[in-house]
Amino acid sequence: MDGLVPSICGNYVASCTRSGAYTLVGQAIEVDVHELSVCQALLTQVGDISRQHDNAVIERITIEMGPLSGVDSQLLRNAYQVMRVGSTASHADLVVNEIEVRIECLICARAGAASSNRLVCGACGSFRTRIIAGNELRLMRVEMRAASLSASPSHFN
Amino acid sequence: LTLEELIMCQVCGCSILPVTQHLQPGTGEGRFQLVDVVQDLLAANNRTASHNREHFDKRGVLAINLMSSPGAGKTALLEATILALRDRYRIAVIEGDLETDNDAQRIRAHGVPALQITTGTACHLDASLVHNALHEMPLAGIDLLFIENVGNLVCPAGFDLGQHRNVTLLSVTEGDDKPAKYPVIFRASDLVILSKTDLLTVLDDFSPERAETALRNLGVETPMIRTASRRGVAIDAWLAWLESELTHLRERRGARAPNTAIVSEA
Repeated sequence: MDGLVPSICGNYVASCTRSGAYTLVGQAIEVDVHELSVCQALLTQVGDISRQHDNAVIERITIEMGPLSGVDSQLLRNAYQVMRVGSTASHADLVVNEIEVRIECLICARAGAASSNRLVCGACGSFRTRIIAGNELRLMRVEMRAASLSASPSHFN
Repeated sequence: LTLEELIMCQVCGCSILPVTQHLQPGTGEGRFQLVDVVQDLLAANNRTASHNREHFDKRGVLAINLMSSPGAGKTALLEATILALRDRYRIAVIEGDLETDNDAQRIRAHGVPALQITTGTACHLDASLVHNALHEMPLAGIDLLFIENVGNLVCPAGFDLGQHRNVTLLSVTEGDDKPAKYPVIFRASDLVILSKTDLLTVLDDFSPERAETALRNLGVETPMIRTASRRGVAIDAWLAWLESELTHLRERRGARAPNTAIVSEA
């Protein structure tokens, strides 16, 4: 890959050409969203894991996230498509497992699904509840293939 | 690459992704490795935040992360707070804004040290930005450190700065359903301040009761208090909360075992 201009925080412009035949140019994100920061943190983490495994080429990354993490999954996917260019994850799929919100009532002990802005107990109406799922923002799995000499990993990250 | 090796990207439709082959474990070159990790994506930020918090604890500084939408009155509240408390406590402020140091200038005009972080396009402060600011701001002798975050009810919510308490302002010129629209930031708050309440007499579509109900619906007991910074005196509940938090912090600090490890200066 060549012609890439990734930067840390701020505007991301990724342009990538392969043998002159296939071109993805000029995706620019003008306004920062915090999903860019999260994506940068993700790429740093998987880059570290790749290095710990003899610079293995990352093929798939699995994360899980819930709506109460405050991160929008589609914005994160969009950010990933741009920011992975030139990183050790430049060819890796990103799998996002979305977790639904579940709460447990501290008064009547009932557990059940809830929406992000209605976290009171559905059975007794108490607001003394505990989140048991839905605020995750976690890297779960990295799938890699040992690097070959002909396809050494990128040096950009 | 041949066309057979290409698939369409599901997100943007581009065709630069090679086919992901079914992965087979093996040995040597091309060997497949699978690493299961369960790691918070914001772990690095959280580590830096803990480090910041150790700095604050070591100095007995109560650090408050002040958040709200733009224009809810964060800086005005700080100005009123400084006027009310500056004879009793030493105050410092870190200001976060996309551009300008206008807010820091407003704070400095009251004789209080203020450090401006301009984030450019970044929509929130993070722990490392605050950590860098701490290197330029001596904490010795400071009682209260306010970190005024970038005006934004979305992005700051997930980023721990090392503060002891999160405080979110909701001005009565906004909708009383803001807690329902931005549950993450309001859930993360230790105190919610209804600001500009002197305007309630002319803004009859804002109901403090509905705002409180929306907050309770998030499953939290977070206190909601009212302020009117521009009228000078109507911030008593806020001042009382601050003094109570500072007392608690110093009691916790005093109760700490003498051999508790304290990180060295960064």
